Amino acid sequence: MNLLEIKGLTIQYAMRANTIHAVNNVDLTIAPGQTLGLVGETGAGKTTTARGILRLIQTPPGKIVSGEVFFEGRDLLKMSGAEMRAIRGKSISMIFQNPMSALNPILTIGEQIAEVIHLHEKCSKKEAAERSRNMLKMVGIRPERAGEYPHQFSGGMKQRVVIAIALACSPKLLIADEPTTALDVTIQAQVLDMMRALKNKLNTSMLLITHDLGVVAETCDAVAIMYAGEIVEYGSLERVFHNPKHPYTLGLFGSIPSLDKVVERLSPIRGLMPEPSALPKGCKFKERCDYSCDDCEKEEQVLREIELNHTVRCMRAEGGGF
Amino acid sequence: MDELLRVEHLKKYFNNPGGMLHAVDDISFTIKKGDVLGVVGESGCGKTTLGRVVIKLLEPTGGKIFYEGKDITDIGKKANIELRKEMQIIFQDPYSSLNPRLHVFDLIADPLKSFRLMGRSARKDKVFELMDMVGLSRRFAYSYPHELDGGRRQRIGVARALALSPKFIVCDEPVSSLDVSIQAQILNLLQDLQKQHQLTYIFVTHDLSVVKHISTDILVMYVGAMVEKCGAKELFEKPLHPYTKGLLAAIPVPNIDYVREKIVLQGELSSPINPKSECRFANRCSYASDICRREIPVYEEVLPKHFVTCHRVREINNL
Amino acid sequence: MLRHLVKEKKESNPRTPEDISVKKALWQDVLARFLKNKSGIVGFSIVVIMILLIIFAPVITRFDYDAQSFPDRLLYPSALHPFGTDNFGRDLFTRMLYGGRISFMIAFIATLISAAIGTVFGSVAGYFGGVIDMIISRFLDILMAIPSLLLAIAISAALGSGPINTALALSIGGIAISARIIRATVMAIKTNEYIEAAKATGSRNLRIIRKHILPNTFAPLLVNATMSIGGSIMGIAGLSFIGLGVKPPTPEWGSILNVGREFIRDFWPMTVFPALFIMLTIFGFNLFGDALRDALDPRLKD
Repeated sequence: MNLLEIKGLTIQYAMRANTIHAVNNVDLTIAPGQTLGLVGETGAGKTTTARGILRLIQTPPGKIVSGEVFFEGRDLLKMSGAEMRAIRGKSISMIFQNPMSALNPILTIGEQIAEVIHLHEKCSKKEAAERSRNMLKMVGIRPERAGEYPHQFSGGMKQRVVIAIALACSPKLLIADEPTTALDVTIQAQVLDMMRALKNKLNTSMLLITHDLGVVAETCDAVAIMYAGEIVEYGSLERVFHNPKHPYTLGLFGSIPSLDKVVERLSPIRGLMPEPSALPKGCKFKERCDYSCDDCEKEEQVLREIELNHTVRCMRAEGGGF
Repeated sequence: MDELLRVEHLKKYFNNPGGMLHAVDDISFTIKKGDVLGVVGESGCGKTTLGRVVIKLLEPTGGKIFYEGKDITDIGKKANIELRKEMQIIFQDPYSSLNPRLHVFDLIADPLKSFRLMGRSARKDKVFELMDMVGLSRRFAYSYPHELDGGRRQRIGVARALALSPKFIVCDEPVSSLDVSIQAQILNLLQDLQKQHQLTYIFVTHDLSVVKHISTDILVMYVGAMVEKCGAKELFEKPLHPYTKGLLAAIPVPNIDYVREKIVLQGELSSPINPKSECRFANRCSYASDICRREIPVYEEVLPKHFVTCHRVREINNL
Repeated sequence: MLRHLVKEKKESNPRTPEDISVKKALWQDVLARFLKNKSGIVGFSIVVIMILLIIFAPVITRFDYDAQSFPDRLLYPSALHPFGTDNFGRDLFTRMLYGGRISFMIAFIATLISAAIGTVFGSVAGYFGGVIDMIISRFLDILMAIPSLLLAIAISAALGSGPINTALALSIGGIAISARIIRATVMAIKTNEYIEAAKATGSRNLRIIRKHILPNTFAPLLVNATMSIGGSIMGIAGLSFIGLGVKPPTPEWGSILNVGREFIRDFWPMTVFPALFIMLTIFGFNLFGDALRDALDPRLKD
């Protein structure tokens, strides 16, 4: 059975002048122990999707319009507030992008980890403190530092603390929203390395949100490419990286300066992502696509399976493609 | 001699509550006309300060800067302002580097106005010409920066830097706040402009794949000091310094078939405040020995045109 | 502005008209946000009504503000005298309207002076920093250390009463406040890269202050000015109340209140109406200023 199964998730923000279609009919599944990479550019709806899973969308103006989010077979969207709170931080936890603002500056890091444990598991304060020290050791921070305050830690160390908080109750699913974007490359390598190791040790599933295809290549088992609130390509890491089919995915690969090949000139995607308040009819990528034809506009594009474990939202990708 | 800029033992220190912050410590290099020198390093390594000092936006603490053979280190305030016509800078953040109360036209016209270079109508033609040059549609002339996306805003920054027709531009992380597809557009633009106008760049960035793509030579910095400098291709094929090796290994590559040596550098950057007299990388280096903790290594030419600052570089690389 | 645009289109060659975007003013956003704020509109209305009343005083009332009529002294409000009459038989409503003229005028002048001088000190201190900032800041500290009303009392006592002297006396205290606001704002703006960009494109210091910094301090300055007008009206009334501001027979809310104090036990209109006017006006300016602050804050932009 899948750990997480999202079906037709649609999230909109009703603004004064218009409606922002942030997430449109998203389907995703994560198996136990699997890491799914959710890739897309700013404004693609990645973070909104993640917040939607935990029902952390600010309402109003945001609203989960439709869809189902099955976690261990139960629909999170139908749960009561109390049930949902019991799940957040316990079975599903989330890591936010900016480690600098994710920690409370007036509590020691030990207290902050212990607080989560104490909140979700009936254990004494002493036991919680003991376990928080173990968590610190696990993320590579000396347990003696439990009594220090966030400002005494560097960015990379803070992100380790955030990860320790997220993993404190051994969640089944970890949602990590750009966990290493704010970090330097060598620190990023350390943190990713650690996350990989912990994930394998604890058998946690992970939804990793990132804009960096390199990070996906190194950490994920499956990947979903998101564009204008839709999943445009979805499949196992191997299928998508070996055989990218959606013109947008191809464009993303062409935009990245390569380390392993010599490329004289990059081939960027022209134009911009459409405003999520005024999405075009038919294919959302048509305006920027080199392969678009008249039919692309007429038809609402659906995800088509082009090979096993690989679906693409493009009518021209099927059967050989371009 | 086609050298455009030469920097010798450049230093920039800042007074910090904890002591002297050595942001740029003893940096020397030469850039030839039409070349691109990539400066890479992690945050706090002094690469941004280096870019500012080289074009005299900040006064150096020590060392010399030569531009077209002339010493520009201690020229007066007036000459410094005149220098702006020769040396320009493109900023990292296309949000905070544009005055929110000016529209695009005024933003680009600003350098022309401050030098009173041309009359009203000539200036207008020039601004529109610049907008065309950077691929910014003329219909945005009276838009405010907050109405435009990051890519377009960065194009404004590029146009502003080009307004005075400089020969030399410091690009300070010009694409790091942009999405990849937009980043590629701006990189291509910068490359095209460089070729068309025979510009010389210092390209400051933390992104090694970007720097590899655009540079002729690369300078790697670590906590204010230079670590390694050589041709762009050579750096990636044959890194000699242990830090460069670790840095290259740390970049996530979007290719699942790309196999390489796995090195994860442990520890964090040492403090640039009152650095001890030792190799600054010693505390993270797996090859560090006694001498590394005792003496500051010298910057030397280990292979032809390949400079490294490391005591043990020859041992480590079997040279 | 629009004419300039049309010209631009004509000159700038064969391009189609839609090639050039319409020059849009930033204040349109501000106005839209302001109009959404109900209490702001209430405050603004109070202020506007007050100003209209005092401007059109000669049209609204047919009495003369210093025409004494001994038989009509201390009359209670009636159809003829809506606020009643004072101890010399002068129409109180008329005196309130003309008195408002003095109050508003002094308040505007005082605010203008303090904003102008404060801007100069504040921007110089904030922009150059270092020793200059230290000298100016310490000077401002000294000014701030003295309660502003006390300072105003001392200055008017030294200079003598009269509208201009009162305005001067009140503005001195305001200088410190507006200079501090400007200084803080300038220091925040200074960290933006566009200031460095202006330096990099060869702008001189004065040009940077004038073109890139001051326009960005306009919003907090305007908000502060709005609030301080209310405060100044209070200050003037206070000074006149103790006999230092505007001297009778010139009508002024504070001095009317002062005279009314003698009759407070047996004739309420002479204290209640001036007090009500002062209160309403300050209330209006404060609501207006609050709403203005919200409207001008781009962070609140949806």
